[in-house]
Amino acid sequence: MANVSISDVSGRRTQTPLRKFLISQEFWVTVAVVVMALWLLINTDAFDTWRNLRNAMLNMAFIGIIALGQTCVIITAGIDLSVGSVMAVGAVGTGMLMTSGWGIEGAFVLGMLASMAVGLFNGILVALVKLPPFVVTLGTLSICRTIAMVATNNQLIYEFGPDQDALFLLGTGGIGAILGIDSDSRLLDLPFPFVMMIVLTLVLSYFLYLTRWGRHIYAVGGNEQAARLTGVPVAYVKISAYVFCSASAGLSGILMMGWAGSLNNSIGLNYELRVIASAVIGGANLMGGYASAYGAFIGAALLEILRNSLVLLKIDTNYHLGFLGLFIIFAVLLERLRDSRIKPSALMDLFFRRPR
Amino acid sequence: MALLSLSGIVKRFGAIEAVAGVDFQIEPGEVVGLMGDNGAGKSTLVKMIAGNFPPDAGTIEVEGRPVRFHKPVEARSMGIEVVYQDLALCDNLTASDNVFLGRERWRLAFGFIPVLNYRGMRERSRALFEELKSETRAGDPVRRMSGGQRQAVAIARTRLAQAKIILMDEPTAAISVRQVKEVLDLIHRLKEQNIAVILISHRMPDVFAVCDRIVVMRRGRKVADKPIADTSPEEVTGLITGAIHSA
Repeated sequence: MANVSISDVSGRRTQTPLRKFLISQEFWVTVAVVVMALWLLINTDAFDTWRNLRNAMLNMAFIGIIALGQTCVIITAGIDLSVGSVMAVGAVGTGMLMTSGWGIEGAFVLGMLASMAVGLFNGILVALVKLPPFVVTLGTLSICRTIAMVATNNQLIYEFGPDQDALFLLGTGGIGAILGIDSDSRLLDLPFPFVMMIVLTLVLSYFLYLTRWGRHIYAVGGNEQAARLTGVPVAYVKISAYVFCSASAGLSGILMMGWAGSLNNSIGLNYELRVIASAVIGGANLMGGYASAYGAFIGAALLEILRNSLVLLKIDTNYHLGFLGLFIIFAVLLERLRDSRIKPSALMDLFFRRPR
Repeated sequence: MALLSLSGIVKRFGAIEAVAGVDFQIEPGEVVGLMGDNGAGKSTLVKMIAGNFPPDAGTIEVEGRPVRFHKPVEARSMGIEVVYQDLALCDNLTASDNVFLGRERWRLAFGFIPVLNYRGMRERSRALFEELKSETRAGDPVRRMSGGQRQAVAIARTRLAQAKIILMDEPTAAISVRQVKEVLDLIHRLKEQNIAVILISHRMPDVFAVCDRIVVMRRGRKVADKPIADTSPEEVTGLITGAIHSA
């Protein structure tokens, strides 16, 4: 350490959990989501219609579920570019088996296993063969898309055998309908994929903060060499992150197929960008070692509310990707501002200091 | 009986004999300075003690029992811990998380959900830092810590493992004067706890400040092994450079 301040040496910087949250990226993104929602509520008529909210929840869920998986990979200082294509692998596997007469349970399990096999392949090449994650998953991105195209023979599938209704219900149905509860309550009409995302956010939070696996995954991202020296099973931790990421992509792909009511091989195309954007907006550090499940959730929420507001404000869809790009850069700027501990020179630092 | 005893240790890498027949003993509570120029064979010797690879010839005994380590885990299970030069800490985790990394403690929440016992780990870490008389705060992230505090975290980790022998690789390199004093104090604490310390260092004043005995290596051989009181920085420098052949 070249320059050490008095407070660094005396160590007077204990942070309470509340203070930690208040200076976190997640908190400020949450504020942004709330502000944008209030603004839309006041300035548009359509925002608070149940139809629009429900639609937004569904859009958010398909991205958010994968952002949770992606977050785990990013914590290990990796990246998974293949998620969009793995959505297609999961959907095509499950969809084609159902078309050929399989029940939804068996088809779902096999579709998930197919997706996880891709994660295992990615994980082994990254953790054991030590290839760069960017390149490996760029490869599987193309390979998996090809598998989906060849398997479907470029045909649109819209007939899913005996369990077709069950598949559609999973993709769009309210949680009440799925549990077999008859009610008009809005709470029970929350779409299943959205509820699934919330459950997964809670489950992942538990694993990240309260289990040994969680400590180990952060340790691997913080200092892989140190983790190895202290006996952390580095390869196992990394592989498990890639498998979980692909599983989340497969699940999202299957649910999305149920929502769309049909399957074509472009399902999930370019989704890796939105998924990674969600994670980064939610505070995930691409250098590894820092990201949270809630960050993935709120990042996906911000992305969706942004998309929703552009639609409601009737802004030409050609501009949407540009706004997305601006938000990604803004999120990273915000992170830098927080890091440099808000002080007058912080803005100057943003432009003139080399990244750490 | 010596705590750790090496006899006739040889290690070759191809045609190069990195360690050529070294004998060495250390007793509990003894601090030994291991010195030598780059390539003298001291890190190869230390790596064999730490279990990174076994020697080609010679025997290593821990408390009179012969051992043969192939992996660091095996050495660790015999009470030999290494504090690495780069400290092997995860900057993004707290001091307490680092101390317990790979040895996390857990408990059951509500009687059935296994969760990490953060409070227990933090209290134990705090006790370890107190024992070391270090100001390190258990709940603070390591990223914000000084060199001395980071050393305390790394040493607390070895204390947690109830190490009998601690190998320290250049613990005082590249840190400030004040922090060097902190680290040397930490070594005194370890000695008080009857732990044997092997200190690898290039810094003559530090070695003379804390060590009981000094071992000098040159070209894979031990050229000196004597109590600190019987030697001087000038003699040691001569031994390291080869100006004095042996003492």
